[in-house]
Amino acid sequence: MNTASRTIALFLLTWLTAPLGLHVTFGAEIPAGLLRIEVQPDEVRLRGLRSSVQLVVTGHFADGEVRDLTRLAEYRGGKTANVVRGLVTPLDDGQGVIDVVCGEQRQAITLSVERCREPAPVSFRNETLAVLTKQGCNSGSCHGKPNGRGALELSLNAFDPAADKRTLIQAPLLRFTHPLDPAESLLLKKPLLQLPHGGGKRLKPSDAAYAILKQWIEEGCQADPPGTAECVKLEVFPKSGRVLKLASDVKDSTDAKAATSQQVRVVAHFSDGAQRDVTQIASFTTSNERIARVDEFGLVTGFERGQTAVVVRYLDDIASTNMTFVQDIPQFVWNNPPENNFVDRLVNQKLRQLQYLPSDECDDGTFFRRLSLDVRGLLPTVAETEEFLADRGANKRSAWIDRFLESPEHARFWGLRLSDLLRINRQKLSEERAGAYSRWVFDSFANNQPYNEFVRELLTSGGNTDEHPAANFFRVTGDTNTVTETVAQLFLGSRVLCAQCHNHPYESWTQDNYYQIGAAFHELDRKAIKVDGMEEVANGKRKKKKSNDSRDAEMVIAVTAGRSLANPRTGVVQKPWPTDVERGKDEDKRRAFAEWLTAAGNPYFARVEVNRIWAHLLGRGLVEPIDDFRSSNPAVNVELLDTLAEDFVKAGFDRRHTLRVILNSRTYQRASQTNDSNTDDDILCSHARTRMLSAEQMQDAITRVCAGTEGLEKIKAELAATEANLESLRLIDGEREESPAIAAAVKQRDGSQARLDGYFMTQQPFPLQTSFLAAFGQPPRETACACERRSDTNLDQALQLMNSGLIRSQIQQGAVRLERLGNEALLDELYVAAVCRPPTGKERARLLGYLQASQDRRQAIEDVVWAVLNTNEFMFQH
Amino acid sequence: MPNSFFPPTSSRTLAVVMPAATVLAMLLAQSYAAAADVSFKDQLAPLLTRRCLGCHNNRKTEGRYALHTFEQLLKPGDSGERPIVPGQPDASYLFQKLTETDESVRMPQEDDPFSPTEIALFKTWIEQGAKFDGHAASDRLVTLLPPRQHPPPPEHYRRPVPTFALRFSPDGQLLYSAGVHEVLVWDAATGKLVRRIAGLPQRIHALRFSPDGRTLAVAGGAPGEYGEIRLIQLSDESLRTLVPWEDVVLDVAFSHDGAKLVAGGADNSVRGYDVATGRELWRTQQHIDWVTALDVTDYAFAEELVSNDTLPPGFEQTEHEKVSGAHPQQHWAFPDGRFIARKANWELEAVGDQIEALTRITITGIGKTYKETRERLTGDALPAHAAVIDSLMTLHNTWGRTAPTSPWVVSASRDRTVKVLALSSGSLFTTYKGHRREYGPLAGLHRVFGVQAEPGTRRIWSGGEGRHFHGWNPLTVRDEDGTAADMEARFSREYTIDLIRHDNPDGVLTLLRSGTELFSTSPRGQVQSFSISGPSAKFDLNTKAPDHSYAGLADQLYALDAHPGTGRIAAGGFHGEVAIWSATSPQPIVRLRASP
Repeated sequence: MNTASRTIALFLLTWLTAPLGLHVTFGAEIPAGLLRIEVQPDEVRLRGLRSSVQLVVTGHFADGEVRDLTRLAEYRGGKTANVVRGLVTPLDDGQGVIDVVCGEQRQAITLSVERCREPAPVSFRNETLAVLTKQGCNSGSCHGKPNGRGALELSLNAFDPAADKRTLIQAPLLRFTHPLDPAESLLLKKPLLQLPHGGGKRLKPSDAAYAILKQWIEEGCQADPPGTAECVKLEVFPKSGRVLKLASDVKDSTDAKAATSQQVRVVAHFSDGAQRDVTQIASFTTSNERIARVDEFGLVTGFERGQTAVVVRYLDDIASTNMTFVQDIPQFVWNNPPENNFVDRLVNQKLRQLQYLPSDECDDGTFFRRLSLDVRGLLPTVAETEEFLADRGANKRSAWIDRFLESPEHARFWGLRLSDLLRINRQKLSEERAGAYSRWVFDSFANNQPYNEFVRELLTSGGNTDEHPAANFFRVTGDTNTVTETVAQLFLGSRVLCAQCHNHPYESWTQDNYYQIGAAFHELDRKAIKVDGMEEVANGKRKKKKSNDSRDAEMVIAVTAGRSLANPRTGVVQKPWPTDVERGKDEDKRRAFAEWLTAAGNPYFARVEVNRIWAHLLGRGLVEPIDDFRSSNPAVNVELLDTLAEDFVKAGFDRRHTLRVILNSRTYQRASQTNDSNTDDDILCSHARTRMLSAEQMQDAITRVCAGTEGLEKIKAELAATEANLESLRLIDGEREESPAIAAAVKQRDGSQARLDGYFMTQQPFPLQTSFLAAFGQPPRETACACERRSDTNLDQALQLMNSGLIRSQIQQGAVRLERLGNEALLDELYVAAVCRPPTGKERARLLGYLQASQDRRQAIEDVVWAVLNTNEFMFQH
Repeated sequence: MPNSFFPPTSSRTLAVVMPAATVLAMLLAQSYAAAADVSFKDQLAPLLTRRCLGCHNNRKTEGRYALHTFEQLLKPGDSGERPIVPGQPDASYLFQKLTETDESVRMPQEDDPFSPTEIALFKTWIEQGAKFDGHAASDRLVTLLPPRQHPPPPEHYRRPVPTFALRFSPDGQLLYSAGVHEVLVWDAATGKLVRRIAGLPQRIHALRFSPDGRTLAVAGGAPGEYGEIRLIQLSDESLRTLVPWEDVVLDVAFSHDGAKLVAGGADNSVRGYDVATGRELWRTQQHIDWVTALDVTDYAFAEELVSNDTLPPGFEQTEHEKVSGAHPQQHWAFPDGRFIARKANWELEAVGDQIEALTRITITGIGKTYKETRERLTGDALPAHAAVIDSLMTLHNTWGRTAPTSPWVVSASRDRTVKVLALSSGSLFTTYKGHRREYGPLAGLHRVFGVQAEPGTRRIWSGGEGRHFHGWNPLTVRDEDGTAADMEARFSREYTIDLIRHDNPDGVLTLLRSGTELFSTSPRGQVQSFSISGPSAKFDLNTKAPDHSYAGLADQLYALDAHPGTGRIAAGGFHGEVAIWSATSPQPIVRLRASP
């Protein structure tokens, strides 16, 4: 590099970047070992004076490392273009070449510049509104909120250009602009803080946004001519998957000097086929600011090892690219842990890349307890645990996985979880209908019905809900908007509620899309029908009241063709989703939607379901929250999610198959204890995640430990006895149904049945809502959000476990059951039941001492049971 | 309040002769002279107003500190520290905040710091004892500022600007139009530019002549920055400036006698001024959105509640009045000597001694059940009620001449209401809510853009969004308003009002009463007139009233004037094109581009 050009470049760079607060270390040497460079794009075309193209220069090094050299490279643009830190801006029309030089490596990029001598009016939508979005003017907390702020009311992220046109162009008395003297415009003076501005300083004269806004005003605030092309797709470079190495001495985000950076480039594709580099007018954020941050020019700087998405917004289009930052950890040596299947391979790949060593496999007792809780919701019985621990077979874990997966308890417990999300509650449905609906859900698990079939059946259900339990889905959801939101959240993993009123601020679902999904379900009628003196009701509104309870009426879900749904903002009638399918007028519009949703290639359906399964088993989704899939919230292990989904589809949407794959992996079977290397890791599955038992699991665990299986057997025997009694009474006295003896026997039988039904909470389709369960996060089943099941810890839980009525009665039962055993046997039984292991020597010694020293043996046993139930080892799954 | 009003200066010297460099030199000279003796009002108040007032004012007080007056400036905010300690800059918290090196706590926040010169000014001023050299420490800082020096208007308009205001000269021969930093004067017959009057605010939203025709009030400002009213003495085009506002002034109106001026604008306030001294008499913040238009009634009103004990024979109270033990007596005095006197259930209209009518009013109910019926007696029917007439004439000659009386200011607003205020004090008499209805045939939330007090009657006309003009009597509106308890019934019921259905789907932007016609312009370029008295007046909720239309402009029309003497009508709008019609012809006689 010659000195003169370096001085000039240095001057230019300092001058250009100084006011922008960038720390550019110019003249830093290209690191040794550079094999080749790669420049993106390989050809630069500039059209018009305001156009620009961001180059991204990538260096490939001998050690296999990849680095961004955009800021280190030298550029020679000639007379037609200026290039600073890879940003190419036009000087004059012409053809030429940009020389990109990195030490010994160089690459020539063809350059053509056109239309610099023609006027280039600013596009209202594609530029003016874009920069207002970039500067944050129309964000949800500022002028984009309903009614705006001050007199300026903009649409959220410019989703409604027509409304913005009214505000900014026709405006109340042309308030915001002053075309005769643009610099005097309120639209500029406020964000420049030349006038007091509640939103603070939002604009600097050096910003690209300033020049664009000023020129737009200067040109007389013109709206776009009809037919102006709109952005249809946003593309970000580098593509997802870039791995960058942090210097090993980077400590945290304050350590900017040693940080590793990556320039990002954004290209917008327009409806007329044109492409434009919009890096300068797009806005950037990262999904994990601890790991990396990004500045307004698209320069990403990493601070900590890990993964992040760089999210790019241009108007209301969103795109993102995932980056991984790695770092050499001293003394890290990969120990090649065994891998059972592809899950382990893909998890380990990530762990190895980010340099975490996985924990060892957990012991048999821990595994067995974990497996039983996850698959069946219940602790294993003492007998089961003993059988498992005694088993010496090499494949005993796999064998028991299969055994549990095929048990009815598994179907009931997983049915319960799904019933939560389907909102099967007694507020919306009568007891019988709630029962029938949840039995249908339970059967789908019990028969391992392919998931695509299940969902298709659910979404196209109809008829009398008493005959077609699945149709209760539409009875519960009530109206089209709720159906839209439920379907999106459960099966597309998306919270589209925002899109009801405006385009979703963080994802690509638009307001139109919301109503397109809605249109697929909008032809449904929910007709209550007259039965047993009930009066006819229409549209859910009762005309004449016989019963005050709307749950009593029978309801028929039927399609009435020809009803359309319009976006209420634009008034434009929306085609049902998917919009590219031609449907007949009388066709049930849901059918094509369900086909699209459950097709093998659907990008959401399988991923959302395997992620849900993963989250149930591992305690955290690969995408988390599990119903918030969006490009700005990437999976922690994209390859794993993709492979699981692919495998799930290939197996015929077999949920049990996917469960089996995950349960058999080493990843699932890891110990929760961390090692020196992986204490920091919370999301990559280098160790098992401890979590408190869910509400129903907790109650059942207590019941199982205290009442054992004997309690259950006793009730079963009691039920059999009362049934036999009733039967014999009827035989004797069949003609006189009303006899007091029969009535008493019926009551007795019903009581036994109720006790049996109420025995295990995890085994019921809609467990009672109790204060104990509520304290541990039982969802009230009012929304379709997985977040309704709370997993926080709180004081109420501690109090419930210490001295609630449930605990007291269970401990008493437990003591009665255990006091028949000798002290040693009693402790063994208690520990194996509660935590699947015998007590340690120390525990045994202390507790034996306590039991022997006590005056009142039963009281002492109660104390011991209480103490064990209040240990973390019991309360948590680990 | 001597600082609130400035001696006339010639607009030509100000804006045309003085080049920008001279202004700059003057400003610089001012700041360097500071080292000697710093003036709070001349040197610091402008700075504080520009840099600090946005966050520390009477409405927004960040850190519970405000400095909209000197008095407030000295009061500590949340910190509890004294902002100014005379003689000790370093002990003065305000000075510390200005000179803080840590940007996160330095003032102004999120903005460039004060320049070293400015800091030095502050320091010297505090060292010199932090003296206040204004009139009163309780005056707003903005009232201390010297009048704004406006840049010269553009010699040539690069592009047309919106015409926000138009006004015919009192003789109808000239048309005044709003330009940028100037008023343009056109020959109304030919459309030729006659004169340009410079030295005016950036935008001009209102032009009004004083009743004597000698003064032109110009109101406007720059959005979000300042508002201003200047009074142009037409004889020599000298300018007087009233105390600046914090946002644009959107309309002004003179009282019928020309002694007072009222104004309203984008800071939602309405203010009253004394024209002779330029003093602000009152201000009121009753509206919650921009005040878009104003007018003043030609009559003065007085009212008193008097004990029923004094009720003369022949008068009756309503049930409600019986309970309350008092009944109202009211008096309306028109400029031409006409008056209306009312007591309990009787109302007398007369000019001097000449009786015109006696009206018997029967009122039942209150609030939602309020019902008023009127029986108007004239000619032969009058002698039967001689005693009542005598009583009311006596009332007029005694109480009617001594009671405190005031015309009303009516202010229309984007907040969808029209307020009725006393011109004397600015106090609220009542609010007309008829443009904001939840139920009934007029349901809709309509912003109000025009209001006119119809002379010689008690009727106020208002209009904006929606499809109707509303004509209403403030007293009736108040009496029918009821209480919060009957809100729903109140919303669903119509006031006793006259409605003209203009039927423009986007409503109207202006409203102007001229003679017996109501003129309006719409966002779609319609210029129309509707009769408000005589046989052609149609007050009907459901059918469109007949109108005269004036064609030729297709624009959002913000400006409108009509001159009864010459029969000329002018309108203009967003794209700066102005048309002048003669009342008899639908096509314009003159068209002009009001951006020379």
